[in-house]
Amino acid sequence: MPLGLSTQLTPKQLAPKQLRPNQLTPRIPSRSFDGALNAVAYTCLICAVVSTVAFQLFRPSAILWPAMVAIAPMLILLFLSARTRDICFSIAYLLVGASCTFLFVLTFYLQSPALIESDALALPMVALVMVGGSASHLAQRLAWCTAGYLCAEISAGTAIVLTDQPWKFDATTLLAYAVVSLIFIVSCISRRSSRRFQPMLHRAGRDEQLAEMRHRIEVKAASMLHDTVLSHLSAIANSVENDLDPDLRVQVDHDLEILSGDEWLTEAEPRVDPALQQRWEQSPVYGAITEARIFGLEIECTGDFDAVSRLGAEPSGALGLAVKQCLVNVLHHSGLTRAEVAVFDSEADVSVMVIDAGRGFNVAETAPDRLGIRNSVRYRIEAVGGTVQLWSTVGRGTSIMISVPSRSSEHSPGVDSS
Amino acid sequence: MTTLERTRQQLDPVGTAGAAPVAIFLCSGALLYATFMTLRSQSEISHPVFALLALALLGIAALIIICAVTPTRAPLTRGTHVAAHAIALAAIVCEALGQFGSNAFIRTDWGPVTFGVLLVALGPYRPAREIASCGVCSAIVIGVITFLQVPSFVTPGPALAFIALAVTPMLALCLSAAAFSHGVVASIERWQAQAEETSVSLVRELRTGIARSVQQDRVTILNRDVLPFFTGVLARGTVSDIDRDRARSIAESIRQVMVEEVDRSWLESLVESGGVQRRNRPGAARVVVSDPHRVAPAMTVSQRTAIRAFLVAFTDIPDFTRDQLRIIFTDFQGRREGIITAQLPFFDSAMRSAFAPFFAVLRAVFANLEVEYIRPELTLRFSYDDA
Repeated sequence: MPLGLSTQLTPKQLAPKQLRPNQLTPRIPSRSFDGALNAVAYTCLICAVVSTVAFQLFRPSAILWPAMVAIAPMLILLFLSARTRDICFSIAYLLVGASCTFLFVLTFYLQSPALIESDALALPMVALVMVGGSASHLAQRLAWCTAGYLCAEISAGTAIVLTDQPWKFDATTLLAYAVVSLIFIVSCISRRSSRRFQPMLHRAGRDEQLAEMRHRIEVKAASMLHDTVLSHLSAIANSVENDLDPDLRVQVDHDLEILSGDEWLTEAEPRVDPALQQRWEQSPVYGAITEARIFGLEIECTGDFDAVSRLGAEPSGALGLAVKQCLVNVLHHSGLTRAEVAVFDSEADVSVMVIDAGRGFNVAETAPDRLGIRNSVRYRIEAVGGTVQLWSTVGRGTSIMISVPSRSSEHSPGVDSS
Repeated sequence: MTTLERTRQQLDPVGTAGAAPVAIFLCSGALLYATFMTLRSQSEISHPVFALLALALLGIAALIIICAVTPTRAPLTRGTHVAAHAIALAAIVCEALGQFGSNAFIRTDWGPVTFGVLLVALGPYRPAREIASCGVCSAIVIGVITFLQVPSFVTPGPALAFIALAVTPMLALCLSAAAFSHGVVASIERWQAQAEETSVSLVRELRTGIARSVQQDRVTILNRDVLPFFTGVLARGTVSDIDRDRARSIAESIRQVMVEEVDRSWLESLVESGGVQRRNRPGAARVVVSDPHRVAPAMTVSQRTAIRAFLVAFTDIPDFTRDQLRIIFTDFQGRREGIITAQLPFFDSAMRSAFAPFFAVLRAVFANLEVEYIRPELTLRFSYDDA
């Protein structure tokens, strides 16, 4: 079986244990419907005030101020109902609104008949239909609308009857009531069919996160194996002495300790003590340079090395391991024992360049099964949001530029940031 | 990839598929109401040609919206909204011209009400600010049109009152649509943030288990070859030619496995393993996926999620096998293109009903998605830029 295909995880482990099915579907909250209804109510009430004021100015002798005053309590209760979503305010809005509508219609009907023709009479009535009521189910929403409609019709009808005028059917309010009710009904019916797809989509999103994480762990595991086992197997294969090199013995011993231990993949990347992080000497890049020097590489360091110590723990760790791999490559492949490490700092990122004047190679002709640069450098750096550029010419040396985001614009490590 | 707009359709394409019947109902209702009111108030029509033109324009605006809200045509763009909006406004102008000099009552004018109803239909599809700003501009136009008609009204009254009464239905419904759009988008964003938080914490919890399984895979091969070899070399303290050959051979076999593993794209992993639950179909990726330029990894997380949901849905189809699925990715002059073909045992309507929500999601994340179904072959074509 190829590596990476078996698993210890069961489907049960991967089931959305923290998410119940009903939480997977983003229902349209009653607040959104209420907001839409309230917008209509506000507009109608404000328009009622504006048209009443206009009629008053047009006919100064008419007594229309009671109609203007009647709108004020409705506006206040509508505001409180929308703000608090308290059912008491919604009931108060209906009851007080019905009285206010009665006063509004009565005021107009007590004036000359011409004003009765105005559509302004329907405005507070429509505003009552749009009560909302913070209902979450279709039946409740319809009940609130119906209650609003009945309150409006009864109060207006009573006012008309009291003024001895012939009762006139108000089509505008009925139309508003019918449209709102039908929207609720059609919306409820059509929503049912689409709700079953939401959980599938949500699970796909979570699976994508898990797959992404697994891939990152696999890359990390491959990097670790490359830096340890493969590197030391290669050292043994290329050794010329019959006795095992003491340094190699130490490293192989260390490999065995790591590989036979538990949880080596769940260990975090090398971290720097935050208290000491500001010190360059504690950074993983410094550690990589020191280690390479122990193996006999002469390294000239230039640039602003404090920039490296300002990096976050994860990019700093990845940078250290990548630089180490680059220096190992210089030792193994360049044919020289000299290299230069230069650090460049910019607002967005920190770049480290590893330069050697050795044999070089043709980048295009690199065997596709070589892992060093690709896995231990490129994948590792890309995993923390960085980039790697490589220049090499046969006979003239190799330069590798590794850039990682600086702390201010640090790459979000996502779910695999432990 | 398209930049997601803050609309319900873009943030919750699946849920918005359910809003299409509401929009169709509202547009049809608006057209019927306009026709009814035109017939009912024929006495106020002085120029029948304009009255008919007004109805025709309203019909076109309604038709544009009805066509645009179909999930297979998602997303509904700003251009579509502006076109429908402008044509509906033109309908109001024509209605006013048709009644010019003879318009007796505001309440018999169907223009502002139907215009407002069309805007309500657009609520789930366009951002609140766009609906509100376009609506307010149109309200000013309606106010001017009403002002010009004031002399013909039989009810004596102030122009301001008539303007307010004429504008109110349209403005109220427009602000209602904007409020709905704003409220729904805010609630979806809240829900998504919560779902993401829960999902991330769940994934974190599972991290240890996944890491352990990855480790287990490596330990298997290490225990078999590397550990005995290293232990033997350390015990002897010497390196023979046989050891060198053996070291080379082990290194080569490990390297091959690792190269294969780190190079496998998310899509190949998905096809091979059926996602994280890993039903393990070794070799399936070679049969199903063709991605010579390695462009599948360039997709964004949203695009991967949409494709993943779509492909996983195939596994629910009885007797569906990997031989019935082909996925081809190409890199054409820097533009990544994907073609997914599947042999499905459905009639056209059943296929669209089964996959329409997935198409809606795919349309939200890919700028141009083409869907073709010539039974039994479903073909999806899409393109995208770098993530």
